[in-house]
Amino acid sequence: MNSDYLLTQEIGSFRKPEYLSRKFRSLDENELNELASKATFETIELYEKAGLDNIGVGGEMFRWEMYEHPIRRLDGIIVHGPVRSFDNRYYNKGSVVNKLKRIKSFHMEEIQLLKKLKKKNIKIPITGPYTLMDWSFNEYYRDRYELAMEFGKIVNQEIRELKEFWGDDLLHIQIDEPAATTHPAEMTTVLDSINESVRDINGIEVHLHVCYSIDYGLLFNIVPDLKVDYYNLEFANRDSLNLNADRIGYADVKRFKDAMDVTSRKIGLGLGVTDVHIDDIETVDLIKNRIKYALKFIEPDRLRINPDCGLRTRSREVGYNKLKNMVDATREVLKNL
Amino acid sequence: MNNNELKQDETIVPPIAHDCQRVFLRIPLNSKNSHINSLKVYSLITEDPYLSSKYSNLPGYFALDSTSTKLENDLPGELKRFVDDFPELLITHNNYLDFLPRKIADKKVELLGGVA
Repeated sequence: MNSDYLLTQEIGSFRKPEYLSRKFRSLDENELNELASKATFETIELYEKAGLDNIGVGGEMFRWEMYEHPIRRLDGIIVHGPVRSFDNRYYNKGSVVNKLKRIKSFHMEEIQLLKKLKKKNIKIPITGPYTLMDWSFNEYYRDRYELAMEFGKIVNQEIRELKEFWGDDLLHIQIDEPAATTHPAEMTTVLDSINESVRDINGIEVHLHVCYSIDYGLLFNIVPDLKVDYYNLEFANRDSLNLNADRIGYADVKRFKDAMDVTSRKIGLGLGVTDVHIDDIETVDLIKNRIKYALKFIEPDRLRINPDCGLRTRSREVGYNKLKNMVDATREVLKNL
Repeated sequence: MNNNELKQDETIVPPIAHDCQRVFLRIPLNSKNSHINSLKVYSLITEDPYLSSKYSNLPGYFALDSTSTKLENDLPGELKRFVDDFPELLITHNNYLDFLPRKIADKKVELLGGVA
């Protein structure tokens, strides 16, 4: 059996231990580095105990959240205060008021730590240029396209630096674009800005993570032109928890296969098999069923298995149990391939 | 307006999240059918008070941008250009202010109040 079959991976965030989350915003740089490193070790231990093939960056312990982390490291953008995103959820939305310039690497601390630990099986999530643009006020650039492309250049600079530090080994990069399909008329902006992010960088495997899309078809339409190798998508949240159901949540796997067939490049799918918004631990049988459904359309060397999204909203115990069942189910499916 | 016409306009401006309000306003204004002539509201608020005045008793004007943290510090100056044409003009913002940081929203409300 090919060792590349059905590799298991996480998507990014994991619940921070309380000793880190309670103090996160009040820590100075050294204290944060120390506690985030400790939390990263512990999270990697959990991941390895669960049996994950790819450990990501150990749960994004250095990051408060995916938007604020990078924009606080940029010049040309200011934060006036929290802004409602939906319902009663708020985030610190930045206003782009000048030409953007990266003044500090976003994720160098994480990759330095992982290299020190001699971990090879990592994947670095980076917030994508379109989402950074969409979640910011634009008060400087001509239009949304121009701002997205500027973020694309900045993300490119970040990835290039991480790759240079990483050395010759293949580096897995995951571009997180939850906003990718929220404005159907802007898919050209999504396409161009993501491609700009990875332009002329060799030795990386590019993953794109999109979740809770109103229509994955919008994304699938640009798959042939996107410089992306793996699409890590959410499916479990839209599926039934009933083992005997028709796997309606996975209907888009077939549509992905159709999009995949249009391009001659080898691309693959990261299949979301566990819902990060509920505490129910999906059973091994249910996850096996979901994987087997996807295998009807996607070859096992092009299919990776992951949660729908980052597990930060679940407790560490629930997160671990979900990952453990995910790995166990994958191993059982592998036995019969 | 019947359902078919509504669907047609929704395809022009998809009714997604923060654009909902604009969709609502653009349906009558973009239509080339007779409904626009029969539109009767007390006040129609748009980016163009001249257009608004054709279809409502009290023209309205989006003077504050709720999607930008940039402050409209020259609001009185901007409004002066309408003074001769509109003895009465309803002035407001173009979307909910709770999608702005609170301190910016407060300043915008102060600017609005200051105009009166």
